[in-house]
Amino acid sequence: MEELEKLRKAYVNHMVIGLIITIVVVVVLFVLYNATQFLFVAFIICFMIVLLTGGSKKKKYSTAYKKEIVTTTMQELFTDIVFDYDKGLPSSVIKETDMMRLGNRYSSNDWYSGKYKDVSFTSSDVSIEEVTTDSEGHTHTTVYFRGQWYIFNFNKNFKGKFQVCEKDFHYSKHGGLFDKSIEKVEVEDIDFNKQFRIYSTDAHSVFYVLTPHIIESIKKINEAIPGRLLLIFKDNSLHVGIYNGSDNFEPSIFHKIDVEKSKEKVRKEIEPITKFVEELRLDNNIFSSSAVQNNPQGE
Amino acid sequence: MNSLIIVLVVIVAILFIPVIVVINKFNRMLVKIEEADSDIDVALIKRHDTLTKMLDVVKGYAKHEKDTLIEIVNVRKGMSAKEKNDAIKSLDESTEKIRLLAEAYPELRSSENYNTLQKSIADTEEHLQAARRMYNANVSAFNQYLVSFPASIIGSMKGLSKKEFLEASEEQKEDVKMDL
Repeated sequence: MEELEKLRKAYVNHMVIGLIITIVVVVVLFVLYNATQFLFVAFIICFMIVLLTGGSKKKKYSTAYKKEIVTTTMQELFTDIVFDYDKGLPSSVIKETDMMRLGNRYSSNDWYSGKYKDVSFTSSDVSIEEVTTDSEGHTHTTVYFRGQWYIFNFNKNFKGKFQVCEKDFHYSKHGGLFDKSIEKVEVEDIDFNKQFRIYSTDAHSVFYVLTPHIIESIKKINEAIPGRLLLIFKDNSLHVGIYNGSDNFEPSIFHKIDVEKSKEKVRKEIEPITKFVEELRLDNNIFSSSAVQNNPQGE
Repeated sequence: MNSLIIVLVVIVAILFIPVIVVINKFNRMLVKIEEADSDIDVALIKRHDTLTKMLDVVKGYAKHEKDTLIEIVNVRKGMSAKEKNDAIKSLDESTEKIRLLAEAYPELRSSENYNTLQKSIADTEEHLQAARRMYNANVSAFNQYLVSFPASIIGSMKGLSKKEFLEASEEQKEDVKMDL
């Protein structure tokens, strides 16, 4: 912990000193040259230099935090944990579902996999954006997804694929106007139909997988976990996208690390895994003739 | 004169386009109900076959028991909703009888064959429930649409009437549980 605190202080000191130097430079420019028109530009340039030179220090601190706090907490809850913060979920994994728009800018990090109650899972932070430039040269960025993507081995074998998408999750993909292979399905639960949209290639699979218990569980999970939810059931896997705009497992820079509080924060961040396995009873494999081991590797 | 014809064509189109839309919607709904109905047939036949296999396995262990005279009702495609309800009820009873009979034979309950069939029965039961729920969801949507205006007028002109639901017992409303 002392080492972690040293790294944090080194980064904070770098930033504070850098900021002081930046202010001094700006003041000197103003006093000596009265160059008011360049003050803002000078401030930005100096501050960027401070940020860039501090990048390696931040990375060292963040890496140490992920090794010491995040990995340890994961190991306390899960088995077979592999955590590679530099790797991410390959975009091809999401692309293969063909149920999420991929935009033209994809990034992913903090990849990890493991088992909870013998259910294999993989997760990663994912960011998907569409960057466009209009005729006047203005760049527009539309965020399709920013949050965590999870993949679980699902305990039922089913035909086709389908998605359960919260109504305010706007960028899932579910066929076009003339694509008759995917149809909208409504279940018998009126509340569920109000909260979620279901698109499927096989309506029977929807009713087979979404039993009344699963429907209730999804509603419960949706209430408990902040963010917009997208569930994709495909190839006997369950993909879960939680669009919450957050980047998991990042340490606090300005506060001294409190081990218990930090671990509690990590536990909260990995809570979706325990919630999905427990609520959807993914560990109950009476219907699965063979366990599917198809967890994608990070890249 | 020309403008009168155009006005008439527009009026006819305004009147007929919604009629065509409603008729198409009814047709799509009926196709969905038929598909769900056919899914129930498939699930019922699968369940019947699995139960028959299960009964054969149990009989192998309980040759001298008179209770092995369990009748498994025959199922066929195209049964009415009432016939399906009766068949489901009868298959439920047979499942319970077979399970009770098997309880007297610990070696049977621990056999791999029996456990595989138990899993298979649980799975066919899940499929049957899924098919029943899908059928009822489609019937519910159809019945609601049939009483809404103006679909109710077109529905009665086409001679459509409300469809029967498939009932579910209290046990069936719960998720399948297994005691292996």
